[in-house]
Amino acid sequence: MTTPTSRPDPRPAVTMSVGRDKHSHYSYRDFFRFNREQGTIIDWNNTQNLLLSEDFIVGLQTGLEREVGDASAAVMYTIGIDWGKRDAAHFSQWYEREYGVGVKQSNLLFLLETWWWPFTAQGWGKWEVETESKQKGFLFINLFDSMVARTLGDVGKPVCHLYAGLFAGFFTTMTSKELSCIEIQCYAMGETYCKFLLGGQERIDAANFWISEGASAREIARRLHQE
Amino acid sequence: MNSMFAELLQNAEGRYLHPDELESLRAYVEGIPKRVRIYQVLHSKESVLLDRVMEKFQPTLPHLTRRHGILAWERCRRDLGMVWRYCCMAMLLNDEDYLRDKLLYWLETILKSFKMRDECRPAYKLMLDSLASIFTAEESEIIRPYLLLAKTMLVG
Repeated sequence: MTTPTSRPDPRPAVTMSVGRDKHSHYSYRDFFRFNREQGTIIDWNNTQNLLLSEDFIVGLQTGLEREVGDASAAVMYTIGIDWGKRDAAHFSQWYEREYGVGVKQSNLLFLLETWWWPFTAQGWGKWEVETESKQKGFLFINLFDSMVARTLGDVGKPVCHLYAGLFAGFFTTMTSKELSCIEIQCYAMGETYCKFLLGGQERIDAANFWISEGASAREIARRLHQE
Repeated sequence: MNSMFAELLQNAEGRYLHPDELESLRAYVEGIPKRVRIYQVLHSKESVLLDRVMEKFQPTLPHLTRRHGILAWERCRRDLGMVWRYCCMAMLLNDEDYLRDKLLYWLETILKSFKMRDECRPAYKLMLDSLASIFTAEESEIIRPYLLLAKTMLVG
């Protein structure tokens, strides 16, 4: 988990082998700064990081399910949306600082890769965005090695609601359009990777209905492309 | 520091190194003078290599600046030079992980995002093909695995 911090950037006090203009700064030693005196882990974008165990993720999930039952998915999704919206604002700032150009003036795919790289470095998994359908108002996101699904194992249902919310919140803020997201395939269902559909609420509702009828991610993609 | 060497020291904390560990350490240290010497050659001939590559690469993409702007060739040379320098450092350290962690994992996704893998592929092939005509056999063979790794990950 990460949150922006108002602490001053501690890096000037640390001997830097590389300058701030280095963009490929996602190796473990480059991206994180461990401050033993303060007990903090600050990353390249001046964000506070916490190290969490898999037990924490399992505890969070099972504890939430015990408290609110099936609504736990919606709770995680809502948390994700809020996180994504906040992160979009934070990202816009550091992106402009790093590349000297605003997010609206940038190549879309480069922008998205740049947004996701800190998540990759933090262990949230690698991703791949399929933008072929963006003119139709939706796109797919493939997530490899989801932290949540990998931890919870094969439970037979989608579990990456936090990610779905994160994508919905981030893209909603960046595009200024109300977007939703649903996980249509999950590693926790025995698949090799997780797949998300991002789009307007009507499409997400339709996908949700198809899933409840047993449709696979491939069938959902086919139906959406036929629209 | 070589990542395997660093891990070795970490794992051996509080005990003596095993004979095989000492042997790999000895081999690494004994190889350093040669690697330093070759590193200096690779450094000194960087511009010769890049000139050769650009000279042959540019005619294959006559419309590059129309698609990617007037700075496209300058950026192309800059990026090829950057990859070369990381390859040289990885060779010096005898450490492919350095190359992957510091550059390739990131640059791979960036090239994909710009959909430039196909366009860039000939440049990396030209770099590999040019080694033999610029460097000695020993120099070429020691840097080739790193350049090949870069080519494979970045452009397939």
